[in-house]
Amino acid sequence: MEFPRLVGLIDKLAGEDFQLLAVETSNRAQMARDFAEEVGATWPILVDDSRMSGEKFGIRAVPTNLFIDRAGRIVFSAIGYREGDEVNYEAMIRALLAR
Amino acid sequence: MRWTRWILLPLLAGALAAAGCGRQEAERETAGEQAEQAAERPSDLDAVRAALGISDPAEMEAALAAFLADFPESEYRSYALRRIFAVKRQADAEAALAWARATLAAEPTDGGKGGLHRALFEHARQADDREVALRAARDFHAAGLEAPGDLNAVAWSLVDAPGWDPALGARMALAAVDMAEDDAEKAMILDTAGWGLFKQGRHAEAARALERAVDLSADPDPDTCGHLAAAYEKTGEDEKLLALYRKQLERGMDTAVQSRAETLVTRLGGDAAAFNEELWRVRYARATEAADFTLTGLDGEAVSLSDHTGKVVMINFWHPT
Repeated sequence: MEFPRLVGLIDKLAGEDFQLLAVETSNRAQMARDFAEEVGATWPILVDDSRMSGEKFGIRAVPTNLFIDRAGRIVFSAIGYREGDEVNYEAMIRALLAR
Repeated sequence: MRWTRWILLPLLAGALAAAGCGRQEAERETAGEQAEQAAERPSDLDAVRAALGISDPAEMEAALAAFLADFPESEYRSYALRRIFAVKRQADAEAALAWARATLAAEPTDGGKGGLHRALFEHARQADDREVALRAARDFHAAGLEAPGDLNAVAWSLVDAPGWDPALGARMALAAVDMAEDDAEKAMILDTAGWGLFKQGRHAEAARALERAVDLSADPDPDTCGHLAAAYEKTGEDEKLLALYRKQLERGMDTAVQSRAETLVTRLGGDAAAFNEELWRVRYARATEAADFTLTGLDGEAVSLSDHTGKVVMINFWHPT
């Protein structure tokens, strides 16, 4: 599971000019709430009740992660979660912070 | 190919994950597709979904049997039959096997037959009964069924697990390539075939199959890329290997790929720093502006992407399983 690993990522990036937003794509707020409480998610969890994920971002599978630079450009995308991917997420975020 | 190895049907994904089958890390499902298809959702899907949502095993089995009786041509028969087999196996493995063999003979669809062949194979494999499992796989292959998903699942087990039969797995996958329903499935099957060829030491043939897989997607699967890289290392196709690394790194950063790419650039007499600057140039040329949106959070507060302008933002699209 990817979602619990994001807790560690957030801890590592504390104090950086960085924001994580989770978008729950299946419009199941109660399940999302239970799950978020279970893992101790501290970041905003937004419920997509309008198919925004598919229409605006072309999301076809979950998890998909987009990495947006300070100028609002989507520079990196990562589809699927593989064990240890959070190391790469951190690398992408730090690279964008440094540029 | 860990997360895409199993294509989950868009609408079944949630139910299958809840029922303990299929991959949970990623599902081919989106809110948009889900809502869109819900409007015209075929009734066989309703029936199988409802059945998979039943927690009592006997009741689930009865509902799945009713589904099979009601929908003799449904594409979901493989799921239903495999699920019934799993329930029966819990109670009595021998009786489940007898049921599977009898049902296989009577099953009207290739898809359903494929599901039963796969169930018989997986049962033997899990019991570590190598001879029976290999015989089940050979029977499945010889049956010549139009069942690409189940053929690929069995083929991948033969290819991936050490000491099984990558040659048989590769043959099964190659036979299934042209049955694939879309490019994503075709890429997965080619990955199985290519990795099976690689494991037999047929590196050049492996590279060609894996190239086909990678070329089918704008955003190829990282594991398939890893397999192709391994094949290129064996064939000595350094320029192609570097182009593959570049393609991967342009889309996202992977620390392991990055370090291998830098080593290769240096070995080929290039300059790693210049390579990285070129990567950034391409990344920014490819980058698209993120559309603003406003959604309500679980705490009831509305959040817009534009609230965070000036920061680096990661958007994690997910859903609970």
